[in-house]
Amino acid sequence: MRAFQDMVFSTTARLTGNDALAEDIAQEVFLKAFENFEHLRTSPTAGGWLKTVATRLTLNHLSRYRKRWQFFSEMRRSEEDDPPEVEFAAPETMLSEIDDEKRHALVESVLQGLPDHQRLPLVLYHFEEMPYEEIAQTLGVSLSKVKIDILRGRRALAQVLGGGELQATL
Amino acid sequence: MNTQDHKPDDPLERWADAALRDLPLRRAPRSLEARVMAEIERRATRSWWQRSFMEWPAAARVAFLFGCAASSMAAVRMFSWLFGGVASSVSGLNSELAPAAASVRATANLFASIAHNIPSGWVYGGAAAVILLYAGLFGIGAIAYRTLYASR
Repeated sequence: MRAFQDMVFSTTARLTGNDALAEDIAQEVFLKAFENFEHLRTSPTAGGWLKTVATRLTLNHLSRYRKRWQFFSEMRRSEEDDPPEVEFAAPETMLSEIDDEKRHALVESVLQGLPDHQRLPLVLYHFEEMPYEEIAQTLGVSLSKVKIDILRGRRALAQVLGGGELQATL
Repeated sequence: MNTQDHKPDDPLERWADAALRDLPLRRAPRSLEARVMAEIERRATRSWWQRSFMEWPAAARVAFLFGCAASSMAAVRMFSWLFGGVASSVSGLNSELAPAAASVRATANLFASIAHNIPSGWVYGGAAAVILLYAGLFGIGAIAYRTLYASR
């Protein structure tokens, strides 16, 4: 368990954006692992199994609230969620001047601060390597909405990390 | 970077991917391991009948299924006996229940006459007002959600 608990917690925490909820789901993941201990003990893909179960359990949990989430996220005016275009004259230099620990903490906090409808597809795309179509199918939303939400999520990240918050950290 | 939809000419995607994939794993709370172990221990100490049905001993499962079937049959027989008995005794109670039945009938007639005398416009207006109030309440809820929760 010790070998995988950080991975499982990271998966659930990044998807939910809520540490307390992530811990509850991580506990459930390990209880399922315990039920399948005989199989997992010798399996070379135990890590992959745990990650898949963590992702699925988190998505199941979030889907209980998805109807409400979809309704309210669709109600927002598009310009509210649409950060301005970010100039990328030298994107590789962004965040490069602060130390790794601070940079990672900053990225995590900004990621957690994103609204669910942006963070969820963003995490599924960049961390879980799901293609757009699968994300749309998993979340039960249109392909165009997934692409727009991911784009807005990236812009929001870039806007904050490349702008005021980064300056404050420096 | 997600290889499925990789766009090498999109600097924003490249930057976001680098920033996110560069993140180390988050450290799990210290309490997680203790919680999992405590829950496993708690589950292990449960009696067999407190566990899920599939974990019951085979004999207990079979006995439970037979018990369910037997009690279902008993319930069906009991209801048929009970209602048969009630039907035969109702005729005897008919005279004792007559005053109560008359008062119920009078109350029903009163409500029926009130319903007939209300103009249909009032009924439709009332229904529209209820729908409007419900929509208003829902709107207030949505605005409160957007301002107090979603904007955090």
